[in-house]
Amino acid sequence: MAGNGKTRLTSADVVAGASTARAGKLGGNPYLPEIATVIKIIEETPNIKTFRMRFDDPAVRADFSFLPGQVGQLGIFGVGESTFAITSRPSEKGFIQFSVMKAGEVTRALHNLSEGDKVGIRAPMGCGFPVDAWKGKKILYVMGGIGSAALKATIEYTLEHRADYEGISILYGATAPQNFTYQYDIEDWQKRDDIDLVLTIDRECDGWQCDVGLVPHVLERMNPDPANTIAITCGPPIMIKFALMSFQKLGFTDEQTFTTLEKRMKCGIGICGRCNVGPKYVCVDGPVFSLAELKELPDEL
Amino acid sequence: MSRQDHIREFATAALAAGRVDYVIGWKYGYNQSEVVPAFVKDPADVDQLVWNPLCHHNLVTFLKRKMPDPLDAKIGVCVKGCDSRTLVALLQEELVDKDRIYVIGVPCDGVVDRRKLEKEFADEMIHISFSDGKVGVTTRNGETKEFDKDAVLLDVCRLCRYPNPVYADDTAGPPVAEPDRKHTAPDWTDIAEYENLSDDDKQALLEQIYATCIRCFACINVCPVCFCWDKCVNRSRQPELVSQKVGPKENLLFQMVHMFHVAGRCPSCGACDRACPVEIPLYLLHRKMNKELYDMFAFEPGVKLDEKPVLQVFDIKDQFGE
Amino acid sequence: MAIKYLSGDQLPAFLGYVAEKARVVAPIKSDGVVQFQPWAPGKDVELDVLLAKQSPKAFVFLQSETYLKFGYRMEEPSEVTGDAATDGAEGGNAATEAAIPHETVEVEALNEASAQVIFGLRPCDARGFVQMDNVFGGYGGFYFDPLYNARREATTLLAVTCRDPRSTCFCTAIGGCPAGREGVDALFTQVVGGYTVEAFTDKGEATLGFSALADASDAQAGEAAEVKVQATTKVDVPFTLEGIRDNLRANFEGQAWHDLHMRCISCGTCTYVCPNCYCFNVGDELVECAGERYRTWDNCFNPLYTEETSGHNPREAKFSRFRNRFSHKFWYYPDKYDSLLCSGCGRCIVHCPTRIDIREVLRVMGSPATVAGGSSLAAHGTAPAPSQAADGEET
Repeated sequence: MAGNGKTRLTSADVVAGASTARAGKLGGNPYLPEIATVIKIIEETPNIKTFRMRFDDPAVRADFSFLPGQVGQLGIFGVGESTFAITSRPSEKGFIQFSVMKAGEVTRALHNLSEGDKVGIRAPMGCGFPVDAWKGKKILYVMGGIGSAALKATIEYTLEHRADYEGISILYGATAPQNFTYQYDIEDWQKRDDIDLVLTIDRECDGWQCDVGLVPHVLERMNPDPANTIAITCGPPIMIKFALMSFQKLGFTDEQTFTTLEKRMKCGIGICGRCNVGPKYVCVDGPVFSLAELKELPDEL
Repeated sequence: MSRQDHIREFATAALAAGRVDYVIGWKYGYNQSEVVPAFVKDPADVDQLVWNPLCHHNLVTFLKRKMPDPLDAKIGVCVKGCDSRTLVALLQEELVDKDRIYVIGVPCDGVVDRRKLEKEFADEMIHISFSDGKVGVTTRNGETKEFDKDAVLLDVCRLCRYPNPVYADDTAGPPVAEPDRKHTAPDWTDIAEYENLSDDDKQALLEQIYATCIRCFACINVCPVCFCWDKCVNRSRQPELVSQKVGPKENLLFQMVHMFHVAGRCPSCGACDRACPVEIPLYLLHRKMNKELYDMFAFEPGVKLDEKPVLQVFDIKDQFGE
Repeated sequence: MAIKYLSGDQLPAFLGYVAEKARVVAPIKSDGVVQFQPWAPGKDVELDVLLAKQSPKAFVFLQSETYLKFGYRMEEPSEVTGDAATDGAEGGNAATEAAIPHETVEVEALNEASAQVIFGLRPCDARGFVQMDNVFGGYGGFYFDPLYNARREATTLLAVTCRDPRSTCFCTAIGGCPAGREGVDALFTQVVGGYTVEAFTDKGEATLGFSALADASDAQAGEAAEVKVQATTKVDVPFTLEGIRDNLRANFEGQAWHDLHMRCISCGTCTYVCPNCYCFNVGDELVECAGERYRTWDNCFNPLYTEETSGHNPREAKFSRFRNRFSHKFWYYPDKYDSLLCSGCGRCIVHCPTRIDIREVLRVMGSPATVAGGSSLAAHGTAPAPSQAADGEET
């Protein structure tokens, strides 16, 4: 017991051998993935796929839950694991979903999966978005490219609980029309009259009927009122950087602005020491951070 | 004028003239039994630079890509004979921009083996001095002992054929006596014992000495010709060719990769050996490789600027012994 | 438990007694190199050398450790009943799936830890374990690491007081001491003829049932106390830790990091000899259908340590990795775990290929002058005395 009253865990405190899916932080073996089977693969864009998976163990299947914005380590035994945001809706039981952009060794192997293949999942991990604290506020989502995956679960959660929030706006930019993910869900969003939805692509394109322009420019054109609004952004690093600058210009405070970070990760549980930005681990203290929290940290993004 | 004075004079002039952003030499470390690389930016700090038989570091490693700070710095560097050969090896492959470096050559008559000295004392050495072929050591608790410098030289230095730098812009003092290389073959007696082992015994010995490797990469990073150090194949992920597991078999492969990749560019300066925290006799295999290259191709790495490393090129007319 | 005494010539027998119930690990000299190794009767324990090359952390936090084994195979068609037959509503059809040969994978978690006693470590080594305990032990609401903890719980630490600290030791500057108790189950102190032995924990006491252990006399106890005091006076205090965290934060973008790091070659020696550096990497290997997942030590000086899949690397620059190690030990880790991540053993100084000196780094980075913008290291008294020509330079 340390002088400040914090204690370390011992084997007696944890659920022996249990994964994070079964016992969260008191799982006695947070390195042990739950085995899951791929039950559906959706080709979102030429280089992004969404994988829907079902935990093999019925108890985990029934009990698994997560907070919007939480992530998981999805891996293939023999290849390795990577961190992805959980993109299914927290309210959907029975399966878990991740969206994966093909980029490196693990994601390449994931893109070669077929239905029926086995994967390992360690989830949920990280902190989610503080959606409860945001009740009564307007939420402004600003995302680009694969950044939509990081915000998807939270968007769907707030849409499902629309009445809890004063307003919801979504600005989603992609390089070209075929590069939007979740086009099937976007169609549903477009049918709703209780949210603002702006889709934009980088350059003019035949047949495109929505906005044109880079996300930060379109954001400034939208000129959202910062009053009682939470601004969230995710996307390629350069887009995040300029979006955050735009939020500042529009008068959003650091406490009102949120993003979710990406880092090279290995353990995902705050032990291996790799994903730190200053004193914070992106895997357990994040990946969600407010701009106020980020400004406390050294500039090592 | 002593060589130390020459080094300081050249460094001062190069800094004052803006020819370099900093000069790399040697200075005392945490006490006067240790010498460490010195990076001098300001002529006022030039008095830190020393030259004595503790100056074992091969400073050319700091010219490798991703080592300089800033990355495009103009750099002055002090080199002994062996160090200059690693620099020539890099220049042969155009891996260092000649126009961004200023080379102070330092003729050298041998570096002392600090580990050999260390093993003579139970107590910690805190002061090492040199005079008239003698090495004087003082320990923390006041014990003193004197040695003949020749008896405590590094093994690499005993067999050195290039004590005078083969490449330099300025040279710190007159050359030292060097062997008649035209008429005497290199001395390979240090590896004779190894060579006389049977294949099975060699295998067993190599597995044994590399078993203690902790994969710290000190040898690779300190080696000037390990130019790919930050992207080393030994820790490449795509593709993953060498296991990251640590064990005798994996370590042997790790060291073999290193050995083969530097062959033809490594003059056996021994920096790897001295950097190894667990004292693996790393330069044994580098010496063996150099003997093979000499016997097969009459090649000595890092000697002629207009040559290429022998294993990096081939000519359809190549014959052994030419 | 009263202070005991063990005669020096009984040490091998004592270790033999302990070895009946646990593996004994001790510092042993092989080919002139002292490392912690498994002990066996007949092997000499090396206590004249102050520190083994590495700390004994490799016996609790293995350098290379397989923790999952898995195998793929094809499973034959089977009857599908109950849940599986009907829960295909969200996509996929479990009934169809089970009716054809399909891939399956079996995963086994490995975690073997047998009792061991590490004898002959120093208090700084033991303190290193305590600092790692925080990381691996779920402190402050984090996760519990079963691999480290199984071994840690099975390990007893019998430390030996440092009689003759080195000039590179600085344990007292950071709250430690040559006879420190943190993490120590029992402490041996060399006195005339043998050792006094003090147990501080139940675990320590449990190893001391050896028959030749007698109560120490007052004289022996007094001598041991004197040894400890003498040793403590020999440890230099080269810097003050006061304000170090704030200064590290204020100096983050400072020029001083560039100046301090120049001779660093960005290897992993300091981290691998350190009693408390703990960062690790995870890898998978697969040969045909069988494979394993393992972890190995890694270090933040590895140029690829933070390289992301996109190719972006937040710590591409060598100085930024150098800055990270010291910031981690004296700012980031203390923020999370209310303790420093350093024992003051000085191994990093002694084994660094270019003798980077952590004391110099802390002195410079902790200094208000650095915060104020002074960048010349000479301004902080870190340059050694000028003009060594008097040392009798030969040529």
